[in-house]
Amino acid sequence: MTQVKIENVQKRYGNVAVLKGVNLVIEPGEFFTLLGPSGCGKTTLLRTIAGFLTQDAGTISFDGECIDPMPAHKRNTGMVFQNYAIFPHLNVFDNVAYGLRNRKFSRQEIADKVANVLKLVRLEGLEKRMPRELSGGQQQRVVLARAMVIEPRVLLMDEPLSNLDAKLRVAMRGDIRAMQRKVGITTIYVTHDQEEALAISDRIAVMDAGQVQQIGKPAEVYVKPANQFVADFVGSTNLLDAKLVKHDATAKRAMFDVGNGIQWQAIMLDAPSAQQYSLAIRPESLTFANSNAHNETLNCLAGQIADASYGGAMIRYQIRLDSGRIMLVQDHNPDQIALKQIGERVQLVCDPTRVLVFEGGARGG
Amino acid sequence: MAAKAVPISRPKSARLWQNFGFWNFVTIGAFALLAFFLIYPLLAVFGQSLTSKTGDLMEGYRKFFSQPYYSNSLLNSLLVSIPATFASMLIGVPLAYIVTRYSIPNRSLIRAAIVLTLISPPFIGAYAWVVMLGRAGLVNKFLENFGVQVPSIYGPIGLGFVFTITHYPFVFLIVSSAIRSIDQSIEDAARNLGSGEIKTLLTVIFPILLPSITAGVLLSFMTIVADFGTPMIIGERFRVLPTHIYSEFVNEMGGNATMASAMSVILIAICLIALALQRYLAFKTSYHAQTVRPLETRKPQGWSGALMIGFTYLVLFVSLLPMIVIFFSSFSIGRGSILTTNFGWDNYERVLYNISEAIMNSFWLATMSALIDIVLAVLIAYVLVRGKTRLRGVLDSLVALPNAIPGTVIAVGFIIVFNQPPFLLTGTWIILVVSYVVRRLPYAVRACVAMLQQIDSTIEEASVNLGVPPLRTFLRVVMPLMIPAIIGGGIMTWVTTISELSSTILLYYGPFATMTVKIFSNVITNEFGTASALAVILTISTFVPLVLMYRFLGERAEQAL
Ligand SMILES: Nc1ncnc2c1ncn2[C@@H]1O[C@H](COP(=O)(O)OP(=O)(O)OP(=O)(O)O)[C@@H](O)[C@H]1O
Ligand SMILES: [Mg+2]
Repeated sequence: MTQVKIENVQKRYGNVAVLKGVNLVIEPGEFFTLLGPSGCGKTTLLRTIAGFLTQDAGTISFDGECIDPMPAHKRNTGMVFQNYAIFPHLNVFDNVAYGLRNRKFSRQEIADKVANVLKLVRLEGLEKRMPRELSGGQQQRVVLARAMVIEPRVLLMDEPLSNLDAKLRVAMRGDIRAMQRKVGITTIYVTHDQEEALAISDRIAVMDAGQVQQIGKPAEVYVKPANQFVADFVGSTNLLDAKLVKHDATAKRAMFDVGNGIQWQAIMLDAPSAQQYSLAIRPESLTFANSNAHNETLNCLAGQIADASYGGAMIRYQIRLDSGRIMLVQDHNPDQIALKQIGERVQLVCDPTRVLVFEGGARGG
Repeated sequence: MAAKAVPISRPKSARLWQNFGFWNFVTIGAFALLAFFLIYPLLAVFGQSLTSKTGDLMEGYRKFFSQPYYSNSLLNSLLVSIPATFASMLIGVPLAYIVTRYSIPNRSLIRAAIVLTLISPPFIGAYAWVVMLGRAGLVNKFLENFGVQVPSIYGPIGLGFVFTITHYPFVFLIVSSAIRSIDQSIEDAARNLGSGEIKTLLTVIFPILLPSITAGVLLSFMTIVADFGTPMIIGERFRVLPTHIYSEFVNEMGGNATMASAMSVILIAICLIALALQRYLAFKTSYHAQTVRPLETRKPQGWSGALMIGFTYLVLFVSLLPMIVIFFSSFSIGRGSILTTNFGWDNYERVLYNISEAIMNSFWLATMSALIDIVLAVLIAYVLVRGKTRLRGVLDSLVALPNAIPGTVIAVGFIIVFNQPPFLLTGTWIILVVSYVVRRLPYAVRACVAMLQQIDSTIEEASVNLGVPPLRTFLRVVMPLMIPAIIGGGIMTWVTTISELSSTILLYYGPFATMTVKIFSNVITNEFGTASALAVILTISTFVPLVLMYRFLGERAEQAL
């Protein structure tokens, strides 16, 4: 098991800085995910680790050993490509054995290792098939087996599931995670699918525009997003523009004006440094008030149901506030008998402890 | 997060490309090869065109433009090439559309026949027309019985006719592959917006095809204007640039090397303009929308359908007629240019007895050239497609250059440059192989480039990632995937080399005479029987590999053309 350390790695293409100083430490045996929107530099970082690209600055080391001068074919990383990159002229067995043939293994050792890994990815019996005779999911497994069989120091996966259909994706990611646990290999997994990232990672690095925005366990990233971007990208979030009214340093509470004279409370640990804030509220943190009774300790908002999408165990509402802003509400325990109707006026409440406070105005809508 | 940048000493080895000197070596080698065997001879031709006894550098050119004896050849070349090119477009474009879009009976056979026309050397076609319509022509003699006087095949009209019928396949192939890459949705959209069939064809399909049509026309123009064998056989006193260069150059008495070179430069200039235009257009239209659903094939119906079928088969008949005539005349036992209806194997016996040497020469020269070409092509194509060097664009143009250099001119250059030590190559077979390799390199490279572009580069990265160094990755992953291009490109090179006449005729030396040289000399000396038998052998030698290639590669075979 290998520790991967990425220190201040920078990369530019011409004038465009694609990686603006990335720092990461990936622990031995960890399943580490790079999550970020398209174009944020995930692939670039992964290819730099694999040695297909050279960073302009910074160092990458495996177990404390700097690998920068090492050519790609000596780094012993196992890469799984987004488009499979299966060798079309070789059958399953030869695809998987490809990397072993270049190492000093006897014929028997190769056969054993290939058999083992094919069992691991559940492809036994397909050794003689050509790639064109395999489904997308099977091809993905072949490629995974091919990368794992050489016992690489790090497994690098670049959106390995993005070419599969939704159902297979969920099944495959479970398999991948189970295999990784069994083998215990350090894995860097790239995806732009936040749900996938939350589901399988030990830790996640959320990236945007060539920079790491937050590193943390899935729950940390979801519950305590470091900034608006993370809050918005991981899960969905309602954002409210808010003006600071007062801050109670001892109770660590702040009062905000969210427009129309409505005041909201939120937890705020640090002393305020600005006037303009934005409040982020997860859709599941908003609930409907039962009565018009005003509860002093809860934050309230009034609006009208603009849209509803029924999801069985859960229902999603869009609520148009009096200010015109749309709020998403996710009701995980709906009153199935008396579902809210479109046009109905509702009162939303939110526990102040579940309000996230970010400096500056809300980005986007 | 914005820690201070720590510049690293760039590891040389970390990039797939910079990893080893090998590809740089290939790049340099390719440049050196083309510089020495293409640019240097061409510069020598240019240099020679500037020589004079009086020291006036422009004397040759001045003489060229002031003396009708020379300038007429230029006029003649243009006068016959431009209308012939135009005519080949008028045949090639509709034929491409008909054969690609309509379910004409025997479509794939028609395509194969057209490819065969393209491959077989134009001068054999010319000679066949002489057999039919020449002084002692079969048709002439037949019609004379009825007192009908047939117009002479010799001279500009006949030349234009033969050029047209031997060069329309260029237009046909380029345009039909362009038609195949049009998506049906484009036509549907136009029809949906209310244009009728003809209107859609003219306002939508035709404009899309225009760049390909232009490319095909330019290519066909380049080969027509550079063709040597055809005007040599039926031009007679109607001299065009390639024949004039040849006669000026080989004529030991009144020949004038300066004038031969000046004419060569002018001919190259014409071809280069056409090539530059073609490459410019190809570059401008190199976007490739994915064709999801090719244009639907239709059934030819009614009057227009009958007309289309009639047109197709007429063109086909006229294209194949020369081969049929040659086939029969090769069995005709007669003397000189008199063909009889007395059939037998005599001509073949004579050929095998007297000139089997030439057949052997053709085979091994072509084989050797094709092998060298394909090895070079695979390497150069890799540099062109995957290379990061800035010289790529230059190399790309340089490799395409031989397309624009008439064989006659290259041969003149070779003779100027390689006729003295330390590079004494004239009088050896090496000079033939070198000229073939250089002239056919574009074919082989194009086939390999097309193939490589379809091979995803992440496949190579996957191999490197698994610990196989880049060069071994090239051998173990790239080469096996390129086999279709290697075979296709190799066969195309072989086939076009074995049919080469224009540079061979100047460069060969007695013992290394090839089939084309022997056919040509037998035609000139009116030994029609022998010429025909050899022409049949040559045609079969080119046809068989082509059929095999189609078998093996299917439609992809045409990529190599
Ligand atoms: N060869 C290149 N030349 C110039 N710019 C490049 C090159 N490769 C990538 N880029 C740019 O670098 C940025 C990061 O690209 P990268 O492929 O790392 O994104 P990504 O995070 O993997 O995105 P995706 O999720 O779409 O795969 C993009 O803006 C891209 O346009
Ligand atoms: Mg990517």
